[in-house]
Amino acid sequence: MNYSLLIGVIAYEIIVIVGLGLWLQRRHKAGGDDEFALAGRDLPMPVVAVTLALTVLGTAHILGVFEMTWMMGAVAVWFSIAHVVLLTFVCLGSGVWVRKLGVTTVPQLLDKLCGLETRLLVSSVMAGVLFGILTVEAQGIGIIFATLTDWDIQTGAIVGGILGILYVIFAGMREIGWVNLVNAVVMYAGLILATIFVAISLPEGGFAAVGEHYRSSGQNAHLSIWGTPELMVNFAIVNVVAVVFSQSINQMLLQPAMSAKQESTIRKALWIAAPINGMFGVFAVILALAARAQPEYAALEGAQKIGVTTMLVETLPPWLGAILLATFLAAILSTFAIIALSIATIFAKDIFQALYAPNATERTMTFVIRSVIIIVASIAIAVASLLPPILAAMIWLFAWLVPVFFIFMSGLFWKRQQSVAILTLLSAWVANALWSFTDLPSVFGIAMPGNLNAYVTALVSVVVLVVGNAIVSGERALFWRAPVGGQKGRA
Amino acid sequence: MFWTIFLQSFGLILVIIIIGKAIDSALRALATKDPE
Repeated sequence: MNYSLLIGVIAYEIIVIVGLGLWLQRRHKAGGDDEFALAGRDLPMPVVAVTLALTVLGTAHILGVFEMTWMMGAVAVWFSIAHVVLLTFVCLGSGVWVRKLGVTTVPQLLDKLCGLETRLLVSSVMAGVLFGILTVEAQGIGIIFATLTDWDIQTGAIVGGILGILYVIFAGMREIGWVNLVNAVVMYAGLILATIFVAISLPEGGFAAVGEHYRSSGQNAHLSIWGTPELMVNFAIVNVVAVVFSQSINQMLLQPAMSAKQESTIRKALWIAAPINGMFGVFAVILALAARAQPEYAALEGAQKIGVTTMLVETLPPWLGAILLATFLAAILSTFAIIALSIATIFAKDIFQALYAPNATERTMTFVIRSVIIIVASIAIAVASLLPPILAAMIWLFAWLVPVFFIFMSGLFWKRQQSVAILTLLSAWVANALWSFTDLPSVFGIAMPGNLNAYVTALVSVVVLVVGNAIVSGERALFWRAPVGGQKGRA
Repeated sequence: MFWTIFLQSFGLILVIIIIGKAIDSALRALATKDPE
């Protein structure tokens, strides 16, 4: 690695992040309502769109898709397609609903739906899940640095973690949004240029030869995004279920929606957010297929993990390697920053303000949020050095939020009852813990239970919630519309 | 190989967005209709 170029990349990130951050901080002085956490709820459409897209485009989208493509082929693009379904639901559904209700956190909405105890339970677990994802993102930053330099992962995580803190610390959500807009341009320029260079440097025949390699070795399914029927059921659909049920009510994705200027801003953002997120995965899949078709990379030890990045480092000219480093960093840093902000917002609003300081000023709240960002980001960087497996960790973490989705939907459109909500949460979480830490899966004859946690929590949540709602009377749903001349009241 | 995967994926993304928009429009039309 050419260190002058690495310094150039880090200098670029610092200039964009710190420069924009300080400029925005000066333009929008803290004082207005929710200026730091929600950018005063006036973010324009392009900023909301890019931030929604980049919030759920991180380590798993890059390193995870490389690895999945290596193992199962182009069907791995369904990890990205699942996020397109997710963004469609958020931009037309859950994102619009939270903006309409004017809440600052998802637990705050659950307070409106079911009461304070539900809010506290969900805020504790949601903050924990977000912290878990934060450690995975910190690890991703470390791996990217380690692959493209001779640093170890821990050093990379520390340098990247500092950049991640700078990404949000000056002007909060407004800074994340505008830095994302600049970085999205660099990201796509880097991806497209890298793909062109890889195509040029491929052995005679370019991408056509890559296709021929798979066809001649009887691996036609590797070239199709529809894979095989088994992969569609066991991978593609599983991804859609796990991602949509857990992420559509996650604070990290709804915070940019809450910051939008109007509800229509979020609806329009769909046309930009979904393609930006989805097409990133397409480039990742194509690069991984190209790497796997070349014997020198396919023969590497642990090829599915390092084959693609090794090809990129060896194929690309140093300046383009540096742009790609900036590209991957931008994607992961944006996710790292908004997760840190989400955890801090949940702590400040749902714990600090709700329980201890109901009359706290905006200045105090901003101080609390900034302090928590620095503390949780620092701990996450330290934990990242333990290197938990990336995708397994993400899938397991997602499963904890699944019951919140069903309580959210029931409270908005069917019925709300605190005791049923709490019973649903506890049942799903106990089931998830038993599924993960006991021999329960083997009782059902399942040898590889790792991917199924989201199904388990979804099933338990639906059963407990539906039976509970049927038995116990509760309040009408928040969006329940009384018939003309009808009355509001208990369901 | 490149264009097949690229165009299939892009097409699928557009289809998902359009289906989402259609469902959203239908539900909104239903919601704003005066209840009998």
